[in-house]
Amino acid sequence: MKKIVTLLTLTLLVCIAAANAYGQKEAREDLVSGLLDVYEDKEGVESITISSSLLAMMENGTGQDKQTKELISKIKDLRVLIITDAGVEKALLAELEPVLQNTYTQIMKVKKSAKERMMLYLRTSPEKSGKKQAGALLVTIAEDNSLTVMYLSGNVDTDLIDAVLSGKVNVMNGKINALE
Amino acid sequence: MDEQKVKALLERYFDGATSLAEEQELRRLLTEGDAPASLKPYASLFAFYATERAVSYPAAARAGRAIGVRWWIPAALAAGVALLITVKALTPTHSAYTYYVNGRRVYDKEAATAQAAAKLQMLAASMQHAKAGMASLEKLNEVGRYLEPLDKVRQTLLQVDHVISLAPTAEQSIH
Repeated sequence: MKKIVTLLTLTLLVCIAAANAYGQKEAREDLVSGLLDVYEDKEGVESITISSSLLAMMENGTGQDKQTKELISKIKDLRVLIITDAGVEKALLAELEPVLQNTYTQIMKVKKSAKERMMLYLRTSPEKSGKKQAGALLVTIAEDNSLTVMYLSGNVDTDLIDAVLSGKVNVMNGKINALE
Repeated sequence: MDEQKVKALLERYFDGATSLAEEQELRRLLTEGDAPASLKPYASLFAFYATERAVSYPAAARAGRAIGVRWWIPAALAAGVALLITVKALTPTHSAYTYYVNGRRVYDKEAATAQAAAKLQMLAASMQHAKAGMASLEKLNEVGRYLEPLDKVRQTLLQVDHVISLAPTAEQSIH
């Protein structure tokens, strides 16, 4: 009996340690997503997350060619935060700034007016099999009375960025699909 | 009973030197008939052996003793179950979508997807605006290309001017 209890205790400790280490690894690699988790259920924030499970449904949908399916399969997660509270907006931007400086590269800045600006950031994950892959695309769109933060994670390469920025990737009727 | 024979057999028995036949003979000599006073303790001993030999354990008890030795089987099963429970508990469950409005979870898939779609379209519209700006830059590049031949003429004139400046003046050439 004593041996069984000892074995169980050791197994549980190993599992907890492994899960904790895995969780910390995930947190280190995806700080922005963790930050969005903190702010998604705050007052003055509207948050939408379309997960990969919904995207999986689209992968099996009919009427899509191979190229479209490949494009969609690159997307792991799509998150949109719309912040209308000025205090929350300021707090989020303050917390985002160091994260973006350390792990993201600003690739574009568009200023439409004094109060309307759009910034694009790209997070590059470590090189895999000799090919550099981007891990996430972050877009912040500041308007007169709101801030929109869009976060796209997955195998974010130039094809996917081009599709997103040209409006080819859309969300319709609970599905993410690429428009031809 | 041949007392000397029994004593010799007993000595060999306790030395572990008796054969099975000798042990059976010794047992027979001590349990059958009346043993002398000096051999009574040994007779009692062999009588006890005979009594205990007749005792048998029930099947269930024998099975319990066998399973108890293999403790690692239930331990491994328990460890496997514990591992599965831990993994299941620590693995976060994902729903297809989540939609929060002012801190409250909203279960309206259409509203969530419509909002996400609207923002994606806004992003695309902003990019169109940016591309329009970049188109102006492209026009500047075209102007540059048109001006390029004039720039070449300017370079040529500069070179000529440099050559002229190096050539001796008329007065210097005369002298």
